[in-house]
Amino acid sequence: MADVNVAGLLGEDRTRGQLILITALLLAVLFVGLALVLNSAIYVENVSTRDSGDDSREVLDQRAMFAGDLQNTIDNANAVTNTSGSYDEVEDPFKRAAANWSSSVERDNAKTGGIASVRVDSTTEGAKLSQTNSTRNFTDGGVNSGNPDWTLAENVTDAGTFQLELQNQSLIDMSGGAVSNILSDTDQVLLGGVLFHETFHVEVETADGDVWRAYMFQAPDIGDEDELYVYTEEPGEDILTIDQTVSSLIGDSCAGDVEGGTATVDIRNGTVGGSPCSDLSYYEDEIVGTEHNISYRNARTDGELDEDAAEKIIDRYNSDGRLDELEDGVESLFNLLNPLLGLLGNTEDELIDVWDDVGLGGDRASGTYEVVVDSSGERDNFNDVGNSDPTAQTVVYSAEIVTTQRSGSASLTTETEVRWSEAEP
Amino acid sequence: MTMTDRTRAQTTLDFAIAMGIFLLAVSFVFTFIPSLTAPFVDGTQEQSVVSDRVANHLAEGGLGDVNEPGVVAEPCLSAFFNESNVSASDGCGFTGNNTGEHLGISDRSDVEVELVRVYPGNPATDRESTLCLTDSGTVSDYNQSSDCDVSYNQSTAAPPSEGDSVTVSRRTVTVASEDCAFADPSNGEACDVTMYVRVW
Amino acid sequence: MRGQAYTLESVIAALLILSALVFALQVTTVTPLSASTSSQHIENQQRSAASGALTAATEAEALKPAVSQISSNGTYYGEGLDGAYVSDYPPGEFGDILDRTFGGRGLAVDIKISYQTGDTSWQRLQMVQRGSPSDNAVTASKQLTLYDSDPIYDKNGDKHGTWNGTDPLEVNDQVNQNSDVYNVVTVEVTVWRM
Repeated sequence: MADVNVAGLLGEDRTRGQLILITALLLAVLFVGLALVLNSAIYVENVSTRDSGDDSREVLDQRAMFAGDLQNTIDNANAVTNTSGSYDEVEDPFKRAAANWSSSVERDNAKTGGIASVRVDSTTEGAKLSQTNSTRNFTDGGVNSGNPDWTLAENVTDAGTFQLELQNQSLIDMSGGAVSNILSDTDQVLLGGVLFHETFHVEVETADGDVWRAYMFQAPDIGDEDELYVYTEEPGEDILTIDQTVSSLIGDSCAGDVEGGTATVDIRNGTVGGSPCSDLSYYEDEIVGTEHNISYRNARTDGELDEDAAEKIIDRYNSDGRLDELEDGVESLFNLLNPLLGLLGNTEDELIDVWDDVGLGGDRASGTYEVVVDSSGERDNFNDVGNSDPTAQTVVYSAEIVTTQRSGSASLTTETEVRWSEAEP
Repeated sequence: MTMTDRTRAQTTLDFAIAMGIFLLAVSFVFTFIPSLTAPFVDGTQEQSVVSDRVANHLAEGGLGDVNEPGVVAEPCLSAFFNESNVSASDGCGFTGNNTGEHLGISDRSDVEVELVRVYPGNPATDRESTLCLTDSGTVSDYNQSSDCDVSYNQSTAAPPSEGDSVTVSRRTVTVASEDCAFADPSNGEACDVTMYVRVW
Repeated sequence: MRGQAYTLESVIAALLILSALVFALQVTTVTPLSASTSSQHIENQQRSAASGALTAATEAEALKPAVSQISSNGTYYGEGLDGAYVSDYPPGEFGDILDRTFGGRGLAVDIKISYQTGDTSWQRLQMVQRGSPSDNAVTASKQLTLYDSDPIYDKNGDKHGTWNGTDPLEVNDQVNQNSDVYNVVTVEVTVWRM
């Protein structure tokens, strides 16, 4: 070291080391230490501001994508097979496609170090029951062709699509025409419900024996001529003994706009002609989930009144003290229609005869419909796909899948049910 | 004091110059120490974190069905952008009574959320058009509809002044097809919109 | 005769302090969140934009038609080598979505379709190419399932075959022979700042 000596300056003999250098060294070490501390703050900033929650978001995204892809696989299998044959014909290609798809997805995910597997646990057989000819009536096809009262499907738990598109002109006219010949003053009639036993309706019967019906009709003279009306009868009500005039029944019905002569009644989603109908949501709220049968009634009527109904009508008028009104009306109508015959004497028989003569018989509805059910449907009442209406197609209704995903920090195992896209309400 | 044991001349001057240089360097260094921590005390760093988080929250299920990330749908949109309509926020991805509570931010940050539709062919001023809720309950934008009820633009405070620094986050989301009125999903057109989250 | 020892010492000391300061400042001045063109925030935005564009395309069902507009030799109808689109986006709604999301912002996009050619082998097909991605590029991807009977389209958008019938990717003999699935492809979108 240089011989640095401040003896002369300070008057003492002291040996000073390189104090300035040491001070500088200490300060430099201080700065480097500060830099290291700040570096750790920078590192924390870096890690914390990367796309946060990336893993869990991706896993959820991917799960939704799996459900979508599997639905596409079901759609594809149903569309390509398009058969009315046995369920194996549709289920087999679906299962093979799902297996291939899931192994491709597993391999793709393995590329980035994640585990993703999809397994199809079970599938549910379904049927698509449809009619596409809008001028055809709603009688059945198949072996029993022409039946006006028939069951579409039994033991249905959920009809994913339950939609009818009806020609308004084909429905019974509750407010005029032949009807006004029977009831002396349609607006004043006490027994508005009498006519409903001629009206086309959809009947749903649950396993408990409860019956729910939806009647469809038009009423151009009292209501709006561009509207289609739907009246629903909940279990326990009896339409024949309902104490309402026709116009108040129309007021209680749901009305839907008719466009191009037709209107759509969507029972599953509870809309008529596009507008919501809270009465129809009874199906979705109370019936879906329990076993039930779906039938059509009065697709065609012969215009005859049976004895029970006639008795009920007479009892009703009687209990309201209006039996005379009914008798007079029926007699005058009877005379009008049978000028050569004398009176039969029995109001009940006269009523039956008169009803018959007025001739309300005929098709009560025509149009198209599509009902997708999760059972096989009553195949005797349907034709095969490719033949004339109505047809039944065997489809995969839904599949239960188990998805397992694991990536960097997220792990998820889910069981979901994936439905055919046409079976989604 | 003899001059004989001193073989160095002008030691005092040398010492003075040395200390001068050293003190100059030290003062220079001390002047620059505060800038060492400058990036960390600058407020804009937390703005980017806030805007990113808010944008993530809203784009991934906050403004629609939480099981469908990336899609925004109607009752949640008007509940969020129209503060007088808070009751419709059930089933949406946010809770609270005002925008601050919806987003989970404190009063220290000011946030603006806006949904716009992009028109790539238009000149710069017309390129983006804010979305709005029309009278008929569907979603359209100011360019295409003249009866807008609720504008999809919400702030927690007055717009930033000239000197503020603003951090923007941008996300691309889709409007649910049943609410979309500015494009036709059944015809294959997409209802994609851009969401801006500005924090200052 | 020793020279100016004090001055020398102080000069060295000054240099020492200054270099320590320079080192410390260099290390801490730019943090991931500093406002620069490569900040973490910007990368997050770009990644979200890419993934949002793919989600929008899937919701609008525009992704499959865009991927299906392919010639029978497995190339797209763009102007670049191998048929990639180099100066504009693919035709159709998918290209419009990309334009709305990335156009006019100084972002460049690369799109590759990655398909399986065997149990553990993949190949890549270039759909959009705007140059080589920079160091700060981000990628978002989405899987798409192609079925045997799905149509493929020619330059004008008319159907000219099916995936299985025409086999543009030449994978018919290698994978998925016994099912309705043709291939599960991954659409990878890479975004960076130009």
